[in-house]
Amino acid sequence: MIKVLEHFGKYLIMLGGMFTKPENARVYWKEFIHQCNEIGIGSLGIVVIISLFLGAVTTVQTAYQLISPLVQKYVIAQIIRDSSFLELSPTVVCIVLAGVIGSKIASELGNMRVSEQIDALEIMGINTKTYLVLPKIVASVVVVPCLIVISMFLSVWGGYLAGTLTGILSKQQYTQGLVTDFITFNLTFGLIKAFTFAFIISSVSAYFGYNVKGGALEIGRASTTSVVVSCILILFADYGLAALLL
Amino acid sequence: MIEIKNIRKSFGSKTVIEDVSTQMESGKVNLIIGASGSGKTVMMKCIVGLVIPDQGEIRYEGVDFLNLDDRGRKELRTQIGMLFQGSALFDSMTVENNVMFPLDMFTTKTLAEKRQRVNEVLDRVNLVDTNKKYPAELSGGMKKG
Repeated sequence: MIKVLEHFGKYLIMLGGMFTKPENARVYWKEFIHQCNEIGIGSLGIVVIISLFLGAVTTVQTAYQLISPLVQKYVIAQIIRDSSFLELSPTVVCIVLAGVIGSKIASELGNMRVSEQIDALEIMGINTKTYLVLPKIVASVVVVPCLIVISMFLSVWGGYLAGTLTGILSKQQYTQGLVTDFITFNLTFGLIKAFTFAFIISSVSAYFGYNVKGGALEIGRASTTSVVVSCILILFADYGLAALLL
Repeated sequence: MIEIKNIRKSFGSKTVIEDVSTQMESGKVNLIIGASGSGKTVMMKCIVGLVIPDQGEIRYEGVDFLNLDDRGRKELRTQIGMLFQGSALFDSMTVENNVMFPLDMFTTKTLAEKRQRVNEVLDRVNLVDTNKKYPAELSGGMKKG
């Protein structure tokens, strides 16, 4: 427990240390754009694949469970829509992103620490927390919600393809389900989750990577720990946000 | 002149540097010699502020480095250079971008001016035509250069 509190304290100190005036705003902006590209474009492929299949599988499994003739077919589309907006896209995709983005951030910073690149930056008088950590966190908080919006759309589309191509429901039924009883807050809630999870993934991974001590083995350990801790915190935050906001 | 007074540094129960004092005069080459694991690197890191000693003083031209605020340390650090054991080059950047990095960060020179300066510096250490190479493509000696 004391170790957890120690890590939490160091994590807060790292976050607090990020907020200093940049030495050169142009260089920091360039780094931010670079990180947006790395995180966004680098994760787009896996997000597309996962989202399409999440929607498709949910359609088939929902149809399998809704066998009552009293339930209208369009309800399947409603379930796909709400599941995608509320849980599948923000939570499942962010857990996958914790692996993709989190391990990348942790291993990149860990390697920089071990090979003394962070020390070299410190010697130059650069605040490494501001230069290396802040752009990654800001880029994640900006880009991950965009990926989640894409994921929501693709998940619904995947559900449509699976539903119509296999004859589970017609195009009209699916469209009717999508627009019936649509609650806009569900979309807002999904985005709140995406922002929160993006912050968790990037800041936790950056913390473990930035504080690596040792060599290659420790970089691997830090990478694994960052993914595991991020996933656990995402699940806690998921429950907390659902209990608070729904 | 760099003055080091009674510095001490421990990691856990292991004391690496115990009550070391010395002076390094300007314009002279000073050597720190010792057996492996005797704390030479830790002492160097204490001198440049990468490791904070548990006790003692480090003064640059009379200025107490350890008691400076963040801004003061940052300013002083811009005047300090250090060659790391593992060369500490940024793997993701070319040789040109590695050399250009401090110019990008701390100056307002144009790209042409920065390129000219990079070429001058690389020429001085016989690394002409390595501008577009990455650190992984260089030999150990070239990296130190």
